[in-house]
Amino acid sequence: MRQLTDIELQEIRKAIMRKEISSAEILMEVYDHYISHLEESSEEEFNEQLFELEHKFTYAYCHALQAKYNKEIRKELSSLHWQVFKRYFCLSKILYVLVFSFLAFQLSRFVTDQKEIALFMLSPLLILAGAHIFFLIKSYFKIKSIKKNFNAEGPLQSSLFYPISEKLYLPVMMAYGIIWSSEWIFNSKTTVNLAPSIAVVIFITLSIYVLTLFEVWQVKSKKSLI
Amino acid sequence: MSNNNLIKGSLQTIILKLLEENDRMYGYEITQRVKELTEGEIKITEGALYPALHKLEAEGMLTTEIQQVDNRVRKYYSLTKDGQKEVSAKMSELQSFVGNLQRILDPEWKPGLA
Repeated sequence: MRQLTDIELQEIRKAIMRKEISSAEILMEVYDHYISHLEESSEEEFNEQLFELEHKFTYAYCHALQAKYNKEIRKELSSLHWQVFKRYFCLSKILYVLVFSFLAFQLSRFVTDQKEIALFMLSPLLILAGAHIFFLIKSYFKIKSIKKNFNAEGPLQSSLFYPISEKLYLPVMMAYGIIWSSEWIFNSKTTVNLAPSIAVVIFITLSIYVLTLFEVWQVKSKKSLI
Repeated sequence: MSNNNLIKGSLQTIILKLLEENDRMYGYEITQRVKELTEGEIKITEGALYPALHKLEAEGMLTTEIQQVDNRVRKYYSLTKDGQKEVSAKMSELQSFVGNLQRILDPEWKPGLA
């Protein structure tokens, strides 16, 4: 095994960049494979071995691999989120959820006008907004060095970035839905008395959603580039 | 002779078994270990290896960790608890298949006889 020269490393990066891979995980895995393989060949064999690797990791192969990986990641993330969510209703955590729900219901008694109800309902979104900013900053710094290394200007991002971002936006869309239907909730005679209870249910659901999503992100950030 | 089709069906078992014996491994290391163990007779193609690793990871059989090596990131794969359980199931499934195949190819063959 030998240390590759800077020129050789540059050549490897160029070859990989030509594949226009947008998943940071796939890019790094392919790059590591190339280097591990080429480190075992002599300087004279370098071009021949690189050519051989290029035949194995073709543009089409890398894109198919990336598409499959993105699909698997999305599935895995949803399944992990569901598992974490279910855990909140297991014996070990249900007590906390019940205490939290009880406190939320008690708090809802002090909520009287429309503005307070709306604020109460959507307050978990403030935590979500904070978490989102933190997520964006952390992802940016994790990818920054890779982008710099590869001199990449394209949409290089972790495969987990978009699925998690979508999950972060889901409650925002829900909030839009609530605002859109607020007329019905607050002005209808049948639902006006139920408004604080509806608000507390939404508050609890949103809080659990945000907490579970945060846990999922914590689990995945240790093992990937987010 | 190309035994790619034969390997394809048992690739997941090979990966799981290797990871059971070696705490954690990365993609290239797996291909090299297989080559070394079979004295070059079996070569796992990258085309099959990475999709299989990603599938096992998504199914929760494998877990990954990333580590900085020189100036790059290396992704290590290791078995999860579910993966550890799956190894023995897959191994007995494969052994029973090989035994049955052996009986078809050589009706005189008895398990345990060389």
